[in-house]
Amino acid sequence: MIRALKKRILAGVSLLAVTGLVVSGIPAQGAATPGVTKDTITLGMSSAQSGAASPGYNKVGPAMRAYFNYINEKGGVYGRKIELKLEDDKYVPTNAVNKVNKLILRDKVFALVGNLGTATHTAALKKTPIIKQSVPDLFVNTGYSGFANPKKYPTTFMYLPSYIMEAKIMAKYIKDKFPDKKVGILYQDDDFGKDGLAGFKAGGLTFVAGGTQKYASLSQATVGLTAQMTALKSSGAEVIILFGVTSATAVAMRTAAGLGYGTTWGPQFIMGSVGADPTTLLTLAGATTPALQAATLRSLTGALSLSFLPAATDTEDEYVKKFIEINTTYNKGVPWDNNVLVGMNQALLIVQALRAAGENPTRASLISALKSKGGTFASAGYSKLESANNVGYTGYWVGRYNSTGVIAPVDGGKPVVYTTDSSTANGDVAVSTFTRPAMPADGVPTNK
Amino acid sequence: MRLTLNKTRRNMALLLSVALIGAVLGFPTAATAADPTCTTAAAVTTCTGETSDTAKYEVRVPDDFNGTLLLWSHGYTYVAKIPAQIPLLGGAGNDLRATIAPGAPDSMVTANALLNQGYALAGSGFAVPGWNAESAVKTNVELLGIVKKKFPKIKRTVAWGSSLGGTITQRLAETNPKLIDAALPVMAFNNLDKVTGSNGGYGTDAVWLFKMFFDPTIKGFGYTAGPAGFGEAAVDFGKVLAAVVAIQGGLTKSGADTWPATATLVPAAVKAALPARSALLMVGLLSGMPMRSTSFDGVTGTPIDTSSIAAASASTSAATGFSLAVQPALAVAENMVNIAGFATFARFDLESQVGNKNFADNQKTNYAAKLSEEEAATYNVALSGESGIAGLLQLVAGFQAAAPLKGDADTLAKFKKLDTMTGQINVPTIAFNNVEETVEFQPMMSWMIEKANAQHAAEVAAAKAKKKKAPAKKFAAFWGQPLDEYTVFNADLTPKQQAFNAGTGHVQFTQTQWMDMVRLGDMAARLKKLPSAAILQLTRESDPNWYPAEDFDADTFESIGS
Repeated sequence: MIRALKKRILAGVSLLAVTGLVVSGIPAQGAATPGVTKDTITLGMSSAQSGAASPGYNKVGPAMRAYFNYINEKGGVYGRKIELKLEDDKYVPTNAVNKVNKLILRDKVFALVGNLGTATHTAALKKTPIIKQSVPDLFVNTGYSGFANPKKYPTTFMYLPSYIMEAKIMAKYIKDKFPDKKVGILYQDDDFGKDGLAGFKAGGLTFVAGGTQKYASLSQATVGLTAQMTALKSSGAEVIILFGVTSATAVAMRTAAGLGYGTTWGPQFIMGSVGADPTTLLTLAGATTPALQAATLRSLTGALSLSFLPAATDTEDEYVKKFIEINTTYNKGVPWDNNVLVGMNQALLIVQALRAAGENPTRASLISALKSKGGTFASAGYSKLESANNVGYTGYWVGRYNSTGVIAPVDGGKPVVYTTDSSTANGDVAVSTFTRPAMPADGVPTNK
Repeated sequence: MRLTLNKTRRNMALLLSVALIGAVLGFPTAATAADPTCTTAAAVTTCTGETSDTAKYEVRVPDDFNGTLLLWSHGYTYVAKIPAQIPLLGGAGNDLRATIAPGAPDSMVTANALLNQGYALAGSGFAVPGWNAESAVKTNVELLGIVKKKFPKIKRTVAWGSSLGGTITQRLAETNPKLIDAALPVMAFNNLDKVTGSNGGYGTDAVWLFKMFFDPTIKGFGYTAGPAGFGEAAVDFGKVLAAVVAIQGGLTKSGADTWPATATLVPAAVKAALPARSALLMVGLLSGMPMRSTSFDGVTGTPIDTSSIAAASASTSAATGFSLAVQPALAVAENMVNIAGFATFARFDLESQVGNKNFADNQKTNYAAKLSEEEAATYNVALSGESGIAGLLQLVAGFQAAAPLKGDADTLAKFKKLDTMTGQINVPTIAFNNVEETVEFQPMMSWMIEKANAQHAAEVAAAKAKKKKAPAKKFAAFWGQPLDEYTVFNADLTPKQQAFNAGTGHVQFTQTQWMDMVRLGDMAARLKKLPSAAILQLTRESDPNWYPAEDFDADTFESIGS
């Protein structure tokens, strides 16, 4: 009898102990905003920090962190320091799901920022609670137009102009400047490429017979692009669009050099913005042999590309100037380039969004602030950020690379920025009248 | 091999009717069973015996009994022994040994751990092999009567079981709620028709698509009655295995792609343009198969060679290519073999139970719609790009137009009657499943969650209408998951075959997870309600093999087009 009573007491104690543990270990539902304490705001990012797709893009996250550290030293956002948890998804969709789940469910971040890749982020949106928990999903690093869809992805905001916009602007430029030339294209056989083709079609650009070549994403790394580049050469295309990621551009250019580019073959290359960072292109080539690096530079010289930010080499630009200064101190040892510029500019936007969300930010107030005020934020972008509609930047300028891999506006002087939207119903493109806000004093936003 | 299927079926019909009567009247039918034989050793009393339907049972009660009885229901066992010469499955089947805990009787690790914690354990081998949910419920009802009579110190009972045992557990709770205090259905198999009936479905699509792509001589459906049909199932399993091995062999060694010689319906031009791995992955995606398996995490690349910059660059490309292009197909290959065992031998069993005719029909199945936009984007590389996707779907449409599955209507109607689980929640219930489970795939658990939520919403509405206090939820769900990365490689860079990784394969949980289940079930039985949301959440967050939230965004039958 006594033994039975003792057992009952022990069972009760055991239950109480577990309950006590729970009470002290888990905050009550809704008691606090995830990722926000009195001292910190924790953000999360999933990106390719290693693997074949990582070169160049793996500099974006650390650049964001460097800018946050700069802001933290200046007092943070309303006294809170910004912490960035950066996860390496290796550009593998299954892994992106793992990493985003970890960031939301275990690290309990306040918001996601700068996640990279169309396939990776599509998988994350499908298989993680981004939507269910209304996690702000800011400035995804892809131009896939499908992410600017508030009905389907209410908390997701783009950063890059869409690939459709880029293709429409490119189509207009080619039709204007190369009206009688035969045009060919190399594109990625996925949503990235589909978006681009839709934009070219809307812009009324047609391709020469045999001049539409594609490759399965990342097959360039193992299979190469010899068949496609040979076919483009055979098609007689005089203007060739390279509409792929940087590693594909690098392989295409090396292959072109091997096919006589610059000596017996001289098409005009035009590269999409996400695959055109010269530092990365040369680094990728140099990782193999100096001869290949030289071949890449030969192909790059005279090539055209589109950009939505200033050239990273434009040290007269006030944003570029300040970011280089921050990079030198807070991102030591990392060479300045376009990827670092992209990351720092994103971080500048994020700090303004956090400030606009108020002194006691919630996930809802952050999204609301971005929708209502995002278009007014200071940034290096040459076109308006259409965050009211979850869209990113809306314009591009066209530049040409010189023999040292430096890009400058194709018409000399200041860049002419073209603007459009993601509609595939028309190819309307106009010269932008957008006036870029000035860089906040000392690079530290004070907006509300 | 000796098969007495007709006799077995007649016996089953009799047992089913007895079970139904027992359920309706609500009392155990143990009167005809002999008393158990009991011995005590090492501070545990062990009793064995047979229920009136000849099911062998076992009960173990520790001296330091804590008052909670755990009634275990084991999973599906094939209706006959599979011939020894069949790889992987040879010797399995017709296993009616009494089973008191997961892994038992072959491994007593979990059973002994639970006995050490003071739990009493009981379970039978059931009276008949194969799909036996209703007969097994009857056996369990009788067994509980025997055990409670023999051990009056039992204060509460938790029913648990996995796979078909999960179905039996849930059915016990639905039909005899007064006999148990809590239920832990683990991967309860449900929705037979949606899984493999009138509109294709997982078990149908996986086999039919595999057959069309890789070996049209696979019979797959409409097996002959009796031992000959069981033999046909065995041959089919061997053919699936052979084709998988042919594809897998090249992939694991060199990333090279090999269409098996048996893939005679696929035109040579398609074989030249598209790798077999893309077709295999398409089979997995259109059927709703998990994209990770016991050996393949879908993430880990082949090892990087750091001996030189050039070697590192090349091996990094290869590693990413392996993760994106090869791993998903290897996972499908492994899962396909796992599923094929059930999809052949269990189909033979199910067809035997409904008249030895094919009930599966895919004439109206919209296969193109089964590939979601998200899947097409996620697996774009592995499917060989947009053009690969379009080509493969076109091929499937051609297969379907030329040789659709036509199910016999009367047989289908009988088949649907085998599906008795309603999802009604009568006792505190915590259901478990794994996100990469290959047999009881995600939609089965999603369906249970939807049913339980709808029931609770209706109960709350009814209480509100009567101005009564809203009833508490009686149902919670737990998802197990694998670790992020677990693929490992041999010295020659080929991936290692692994036997276990929690969250994958079929009913793979860690010992910690089994103990978590029992702890929560015991708590529910003691409290007469679910443990608090905070306790459930703490458990989910305590182990990386639990998904750390209840609302895992799982596939549903609707989302995969079943």
